[in-house]
Amino acid sequence: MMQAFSFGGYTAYIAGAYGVFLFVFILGALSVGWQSRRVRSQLRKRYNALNCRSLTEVSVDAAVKPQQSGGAEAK
Amino acid sequence: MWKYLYLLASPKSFYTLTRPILPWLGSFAFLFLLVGLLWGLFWAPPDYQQGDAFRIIYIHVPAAFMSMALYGAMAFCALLLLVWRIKLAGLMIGVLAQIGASMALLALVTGSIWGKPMWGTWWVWDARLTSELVLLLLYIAILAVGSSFNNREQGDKLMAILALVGLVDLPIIHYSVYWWNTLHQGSTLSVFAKPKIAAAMLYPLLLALVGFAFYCLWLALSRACNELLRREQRQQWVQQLLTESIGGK
Repeated sequence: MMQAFSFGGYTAYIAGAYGVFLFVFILGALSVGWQSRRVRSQLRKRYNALNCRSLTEVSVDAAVKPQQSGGAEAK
Repeated sequence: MWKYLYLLASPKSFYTLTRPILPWLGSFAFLFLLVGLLWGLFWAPPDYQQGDAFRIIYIHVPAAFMSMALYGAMAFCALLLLVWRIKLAGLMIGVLAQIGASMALLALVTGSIWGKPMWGTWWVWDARLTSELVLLLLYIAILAVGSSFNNREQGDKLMAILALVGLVDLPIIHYSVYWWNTLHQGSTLSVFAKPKIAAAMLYPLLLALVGFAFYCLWLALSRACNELLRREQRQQWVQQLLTESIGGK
């Protein structure tokens, strides 16, 4: 079995080259995951903020509109 | 062709068309790389001159090829941005520059590791090595220019100009081994000429090449989709998407 992992005196060089490749390959894949999580959390925050604002707008509208219409009637 | 190009130029169409194919691209990349690299590492015969050290070719050649191919794709995007003002192309320049830089770095590092046992040195100021180093520096310069502007459109435009100027380095890299007397060996693969490598060594190299291409495509499209969501977060289609994905849970 050990024979299969011996490359005639070049084992360290081959291991180094393939190790660097694995590092870049895995780092690239992980960076996509990190970027995706960061963007999604940013969007979720924005979604929540928009939701809160739209709820506030609804409640403000509900509170203000009758008064405004009352004012209009008074005029 | 123009119809499809315009369809892809729309951020919403780009996102909805590319998102479903990402898992397929990732799976193909993993499969081709696994088979190609294991085949090259354990079953390909050793080279009669270089012995087992030649097995670094299965990383080095695809990485060097992709570093140049990605630069070509980036220059095409630069043209799309400057001539047709397609905003998505500006986004792609940044994404392709990041991946291209990592491929150029991988090609230089693995080449250096290969050079030590074969040439007796980690580095020489050889035409091929130097022009590849210039390619890496161009990628870094493009990324630096892009991130130094607060105005994204201005940054994208300058990145595009720099990408087109740097295009001159691609033929220099390719023909450097013919134009100058270099320590670096000549091209192993050519589109038109018969390969100078035995079939038992060639097939795993082709598999690794296809694997690298799928990996870079997967990485580029995944990063582009994420970046697109970030840039377009104020647009109606992203908010609709959010409502469906978050509100649906």
